[in-house]
Amino acid sequence: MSAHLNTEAVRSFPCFSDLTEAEAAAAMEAFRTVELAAGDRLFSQGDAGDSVYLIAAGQVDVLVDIDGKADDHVVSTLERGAIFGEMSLLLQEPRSATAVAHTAATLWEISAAAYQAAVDAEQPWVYKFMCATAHALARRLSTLDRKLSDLISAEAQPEAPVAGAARVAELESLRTRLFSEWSF
Amino acid sequence: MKAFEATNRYIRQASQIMGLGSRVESLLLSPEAEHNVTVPVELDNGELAVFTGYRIQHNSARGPMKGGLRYHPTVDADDVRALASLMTWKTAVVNIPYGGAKGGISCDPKNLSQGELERVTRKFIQRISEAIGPQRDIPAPDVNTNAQVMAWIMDEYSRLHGFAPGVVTGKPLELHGSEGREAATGRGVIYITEEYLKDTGRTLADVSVAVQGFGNVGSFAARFAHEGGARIVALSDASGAIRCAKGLDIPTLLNYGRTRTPLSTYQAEGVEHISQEELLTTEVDVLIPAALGGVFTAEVAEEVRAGVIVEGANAPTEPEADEVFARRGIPVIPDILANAGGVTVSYFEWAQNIQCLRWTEDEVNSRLKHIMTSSYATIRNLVKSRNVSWRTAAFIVGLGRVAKATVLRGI
Repeated sequence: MSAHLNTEAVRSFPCFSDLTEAEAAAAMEAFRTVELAAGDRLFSQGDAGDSVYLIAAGQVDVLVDIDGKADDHVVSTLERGAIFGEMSLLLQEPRSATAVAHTAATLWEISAAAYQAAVDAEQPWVYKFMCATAHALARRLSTLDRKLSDLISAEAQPEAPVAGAARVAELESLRTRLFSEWSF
Repeated sequence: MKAFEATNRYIRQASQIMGLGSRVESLLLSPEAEHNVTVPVELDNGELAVFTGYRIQHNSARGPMKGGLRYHPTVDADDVRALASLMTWKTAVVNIPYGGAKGGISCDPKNLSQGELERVTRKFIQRISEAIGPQRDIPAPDVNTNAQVMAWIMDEYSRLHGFAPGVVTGKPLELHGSEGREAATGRGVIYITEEYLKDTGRTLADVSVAVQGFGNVGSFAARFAHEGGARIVALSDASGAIRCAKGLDIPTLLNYGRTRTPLSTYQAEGVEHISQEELLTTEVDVLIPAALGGVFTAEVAEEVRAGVIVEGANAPTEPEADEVFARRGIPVIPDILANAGGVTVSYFEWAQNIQCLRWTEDEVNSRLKHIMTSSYATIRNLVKSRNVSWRTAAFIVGLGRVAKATVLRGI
């Protein structure tokens, strides 16, 4: 067991701040720590895996391979308190992104089995953890919505008047032809 | 090929020549609404039968939608859709202020008593009564539906919405029907035939005619062709076909039609009994298909020996057969022109209904003749000036008028 993992450290995360000593101890039991050096790759997009991670110290880059080429795009850099990897746990699908340590980092890892066991045992801490996960997902979705709407308006605005004008012109020319060339 | 796809092929041909563009084209191809209803009916023996009824409303750009209602076991959505589309172009070709629709019930009226038929009709009207109306969609007779069926429709609709004779046409004369309505389709077919013959320096008295089908359209077409002096050399009904090179005795045969006596039982000197296909391939000046659709396949078309085909029925020619006729140089006067006399007099009936007027038979017939001959002239001029087939010319006129109404109203 790493020195990082103790009940005080557990309760130092905002999501776990109101756990009792016993509840924090139960959480401590479920997690194990993972130490990464800067540049270490935790997992790659497409890998199998069902663990969820909580960053205890350091920073982790999340990269997505968008166009099938090797140069991945860093979509965000996560810091202490961030939860990641939950998509594979919830959807039981391969990793949807790559995680690489930006700096030396300490992660708390919980496996799907340990997570499920905590849910089955109705451990109070796992509900706190679930809430934190849902909060993280919601925030990510909200950021994504904003980006999408920016993208759509950036794409649509310069093009829409052109397409509209072309349509009006097409209809106008059809109208002219119908009433001249095809009068009967 | 499915009927709707076949109709759409003709529309695309015309649309491409006109350069309507794919967006307007797809707008014109798609029906506005499709009503698909179940028609449960208690049979005379106490059992319950459930039929499927359709009313497909294709286009209303030019006015309230108009089209017949057929009762036949082969009725299905695809068929009705194709016929609804044809009505849109037909009403536009003869320039009457209607759009196009069609309906039907998938049932065999031969197995239904009069009472059962009435209950089927009334239930169907209850099902679609919100979708039809004198300014919305006006049904009419078609295969296996007659003036009595139209009377039930008028009564049932009026019961639900108040007195409205203009909700349906083809009604009995005694109940807001029009003089000349029953004979109108067949009469129109012969007006068109006469105009075509006139263009080639002939009259009915100079030609031989074969008519496939001896229902409303075929029997009146045969009668008016005979009265015009034509030699009717072949006739058929569902029971079979008969042929006589020196001309059939039409007045006697019309009695067979009236009394629904099968033509297969007809015996006379010089009359031979032949198959439907032999009728279609008989050497003749004018061939009038006036039965159901799809009788001219590419195979049959290769064997046809007619000077001209005048389509009394709806969609008797498959697109492949149309190409064969074009290659062989046999002109085909298309359904949307040739058999538009029925819907034209339906329009007269509706016009009389909403004005509470009554026209004489002469008035009806002379107005019908005017509409048929002027429509014929419009199409004939296009055939000559654009060097296109009669069918393509008719679709160009139909599409053109509907497209104009559409752009004027705003898409």
